[in-house]
Amino acid sequence: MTASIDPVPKEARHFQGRRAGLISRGLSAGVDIAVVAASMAAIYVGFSAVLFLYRPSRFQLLTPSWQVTIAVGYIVLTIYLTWSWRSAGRTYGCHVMGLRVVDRKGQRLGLAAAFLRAVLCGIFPLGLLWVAISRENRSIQDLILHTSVIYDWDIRPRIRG
Amino acid sequence: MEEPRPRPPKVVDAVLGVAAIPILAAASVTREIARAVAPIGHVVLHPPLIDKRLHPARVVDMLADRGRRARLNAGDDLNRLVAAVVPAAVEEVLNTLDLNGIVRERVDLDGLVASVDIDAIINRVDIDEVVRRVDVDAIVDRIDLDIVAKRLDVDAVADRVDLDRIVDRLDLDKIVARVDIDAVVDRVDLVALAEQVIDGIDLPEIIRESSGSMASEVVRDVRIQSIEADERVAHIIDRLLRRRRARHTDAPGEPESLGGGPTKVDS
Repeated sequence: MTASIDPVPKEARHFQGRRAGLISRGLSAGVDIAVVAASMAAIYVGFSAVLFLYRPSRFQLLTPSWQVTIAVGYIVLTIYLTWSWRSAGRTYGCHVMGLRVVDRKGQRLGLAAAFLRAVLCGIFPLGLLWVAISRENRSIQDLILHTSVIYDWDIRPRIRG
Repeated sequence: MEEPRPRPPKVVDAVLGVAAIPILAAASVTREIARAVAPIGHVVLHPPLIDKRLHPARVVDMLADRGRRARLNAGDDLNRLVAAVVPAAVEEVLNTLDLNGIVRERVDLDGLVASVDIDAIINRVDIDEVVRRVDVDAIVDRIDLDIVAKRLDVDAVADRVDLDRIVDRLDLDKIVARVDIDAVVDRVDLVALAEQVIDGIDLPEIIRESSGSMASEVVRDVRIQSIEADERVAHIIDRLLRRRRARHTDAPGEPESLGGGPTKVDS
């Protein structure tokens, strides 16, 4: 005998599947930026450790220029977003905020769409602000690629009693 | 009770006695004369030597016969007259009389009723025979049960029923033993029932509270508050832009949290 339990709280059920607003998506983007920053820090520490192990006597801390930092950050962000949207439909920021990115059919993004969206988000992050103005809660990137960011709280694993 | 009749005064009796004397004397003289004249009358009525058909007695008999017929005719006429007049007269008399008043004044009804032995009357009545003669079906057919039911105060009847006493007299074990529990269970939609119970007690909330960590609670609160903030920001922007219609936020497809199927609980 099987009974259904909706894991989503009552107050949030009504919003599931609807396009998310500016605050949720902004907080999600903030978490993603933090993830990218942490990733870059990890890359820096890792790269420095490799250099230290390779030539310990001549080792000194790297001091990359801001152009290099931005370029690396942009690459890391693009890879991170593309991989997240393609594989899970959501980044870690989306996971925390209970959001998911879908295409015009409501399906997970393909690799090309995920990559293009990641590139556009990196080039023009302020396009997110259009969510507040759009009648359909869409950002500039969503309008270009016909994508949507919806409330979709993660599902808990099967519970056996 | 019968009241004694008033006795007339003695003077009246004396007057009547005086008046009776000549009457009695005349009657005695008449009887003597008749006795003396009787042989003469016989000779006169039956003269000898004359044919019997010519005897004066025959004439007397004929006259007597005619007189008797006349008397009888007169009696019939009188009877007809009485039959015609008496009922009308009696009716008129009865109409003028207050018989009820007369009975009330003259008749001792209490005494009369007291003298009646009602027990003896009842003992002489064959109640079984009376009941046997009653057509109960006909009586029931004439009763309008709807009207009776409308006039019936069911609440009052229910108030007078001692349910506790009735329940005490019930053998619940015997009743339960006769119930086919399996059939009852088969007819119950347990899945729907379980869903109703789960929906009523908000089981997901209980599971979340029992198994969720502080971090997940914080995340859930942040999500809910961010949704509310989204709604608020959208409302403010729409008011600033003088939008009258609500936003169209329905997205294609079905969210995994709903369409992906809710969490199953196997039991």
